[in-house]
Amino acid sequence: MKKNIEILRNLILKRKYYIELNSVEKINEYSTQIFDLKNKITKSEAENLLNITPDTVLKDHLLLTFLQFQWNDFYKEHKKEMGDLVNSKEPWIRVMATVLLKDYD
Amino acid sequence: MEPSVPVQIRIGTPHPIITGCANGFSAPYSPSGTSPSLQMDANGYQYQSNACMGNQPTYFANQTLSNPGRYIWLLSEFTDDDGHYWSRFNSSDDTQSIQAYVNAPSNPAIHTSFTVDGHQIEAVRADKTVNCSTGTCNSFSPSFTAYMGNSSQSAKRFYGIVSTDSTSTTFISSQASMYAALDTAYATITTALPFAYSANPNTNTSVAITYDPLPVQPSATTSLPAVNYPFATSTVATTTLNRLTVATTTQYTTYTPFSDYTDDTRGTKTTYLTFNGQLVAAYTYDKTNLPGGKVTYIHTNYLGTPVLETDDKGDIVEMDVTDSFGNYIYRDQRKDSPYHNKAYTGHEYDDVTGLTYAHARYLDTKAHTFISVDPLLYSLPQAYLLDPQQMNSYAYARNNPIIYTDPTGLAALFYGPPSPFSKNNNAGYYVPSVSFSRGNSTPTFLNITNPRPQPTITRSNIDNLIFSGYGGMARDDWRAGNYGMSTTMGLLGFSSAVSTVFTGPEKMVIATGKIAFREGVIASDLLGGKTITATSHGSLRSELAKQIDLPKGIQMHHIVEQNSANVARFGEQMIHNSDNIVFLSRANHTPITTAFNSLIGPGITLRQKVGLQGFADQYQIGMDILRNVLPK
Repeated sequence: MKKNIEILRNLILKRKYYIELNSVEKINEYSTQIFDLKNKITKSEAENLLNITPDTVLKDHLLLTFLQFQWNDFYKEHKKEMGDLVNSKEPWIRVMATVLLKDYD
Repeated sequence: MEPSVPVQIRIGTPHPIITGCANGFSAPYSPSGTSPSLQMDANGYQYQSNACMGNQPTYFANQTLSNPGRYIWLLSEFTDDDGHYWSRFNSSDDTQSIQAYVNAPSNPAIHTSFTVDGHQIEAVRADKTVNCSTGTCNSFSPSFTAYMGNSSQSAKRFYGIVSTDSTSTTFISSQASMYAALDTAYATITTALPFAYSANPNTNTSVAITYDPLPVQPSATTSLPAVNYPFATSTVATTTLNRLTVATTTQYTTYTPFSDYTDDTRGTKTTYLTFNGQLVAAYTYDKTNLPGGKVTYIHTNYLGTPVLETDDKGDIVEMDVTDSFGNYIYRDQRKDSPYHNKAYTGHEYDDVTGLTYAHARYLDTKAHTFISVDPLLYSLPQAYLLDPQQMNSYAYARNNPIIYTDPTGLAALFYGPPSPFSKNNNAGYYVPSVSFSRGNSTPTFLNITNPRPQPTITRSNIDNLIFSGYGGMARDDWRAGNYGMSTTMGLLGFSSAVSTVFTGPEKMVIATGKIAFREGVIASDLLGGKTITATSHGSLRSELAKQIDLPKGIQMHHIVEQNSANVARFGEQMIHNSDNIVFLSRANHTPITTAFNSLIGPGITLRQKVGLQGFADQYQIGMDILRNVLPK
């Protein structure tokens, strides 16, 4: 049985695919599943996942997801990386991060 | 059997194209000092190529040098008046002197000749061997003085230095970096190494050869050694030959550092610095109060037209924009600028008449023609009447100011494509920054140190930078041969160098009198700060369409959304307002729409979250998103 963190990673990967296609319905479908996992993974698991993810864009998707989770402690530890999301290669992330980061200004 | 060594002889143009190392030279050798040196190999016998400067000859020809021994040979193409073959090279410190002077050309041990492509090459052995066994040969400095032939000889070509080893048939080196082609026409030497050449050995009058054709430009971050130049305010337009050292490449270039102008009405004096014929910087100071003053820099487009003036921090203090014929579209009116009258392609602009002084004639940039006929028409009528573009002898630059200039008012000069300089530099020549150091007593110095500060590109001034043509006009198109596109873009002041900040068509004034869009620009800004309000999106759109030309694929979008909730909260005039309209391409708007419709958290979309904010906050979010989404 897969760990929730692995499921989360797969969901983020799938959502990433539909973001590139600008398919809103699918994006929101996967986002809903992603939000459901918020309380089923630990921050240390999230930390490990970030550490083993070399892909910059995928890492941006992970960071944005954790930003959506509104983990304040996690944000404090990754303030710089999350702040850099407004410069992500993925425009969708840049838009989302612009608004989400306002909550932390 | 006598050993023999194949020799590569370079027959090429005096200005070879630099594309990399020559055949047989795989990697540059970078000596620790500034001067490359010959090196001893692992066996302690052979000389290796020193710094490979990558001069590619037209081709190589292989020849055999019989019984060469362990010597240095000088390859040249001439004889002197007495039929002797001779050359003499001295090292700069004379401790490793090698000489070749052959009175007996029949002696194959010290001289041989062969023909390559019609060129008779004389290989003259240096009369002094380099004693490698002492271990000193590896520090031989190739700072030669070459005395070759007689000034009466019409052909004086030096093809290089070959070092040979009698125990080996392995080709050693033709010293690619020392490849030189000297003749009476060019008197150039295509090497970065310091050479001196005497046209007449009998009088031993050395003529310094200081030419380096390498089109290598230092990067903007390259730190150049400071060079001090005597500063003589009484000397006007003194031309000096100075040197920039960049990595292992030495560049020689001509500065005309001092051209003074005294403005008695302001009590100031201005000293101009030009570089390769282009105005670079100006030092303005109170003529009665030394020291003091300030330095500002001028930045030109690729035709040499000043477009920007910056201070020593890179802040823009003045900007002028002309169309491709030099007619001012925008001009800062700061008349105390030292560049105020430096105008189209570097010519002087006359404020009173509105004409541009092009030496032989005045140019009316508004009419795109000279105001008088070309004086050369009378002396060279055929040349003009056979060229349809010059049959009208009032025409400026063959009616093609994108690739021609007219520096004298007499003839169109083909300018060619802009040089592929660093994107961080403007289209003009690379120049270092300049600081003037003045004291109350002489001498004082002009100190040329680090690269000239580049204009600071910000979002607020990017429109003007692009518009002004800063960074060169359509350089990439030009290099690709798209002259038609270049013409169009050049007329519109398109800049490929800075267009990476925004994609899509640039702001431009078009023939219809309408204003074309530039992506990301606010409608009111396009209208010169004028605000248009309407009671609906449709009426606002039609009103804007009367004044702004929207290309296909460009959309008007509200910054604060025009949904019913916002209209109810803020009023129609706040929403349907040109201050609230931005022009975007579909490509850049799509991800914004997608993100706005996406869930930002459980059960709430980004649009819903933003919609909870007040007008000012929504506007700020919209602008922030634009800033982050438009390509940087």
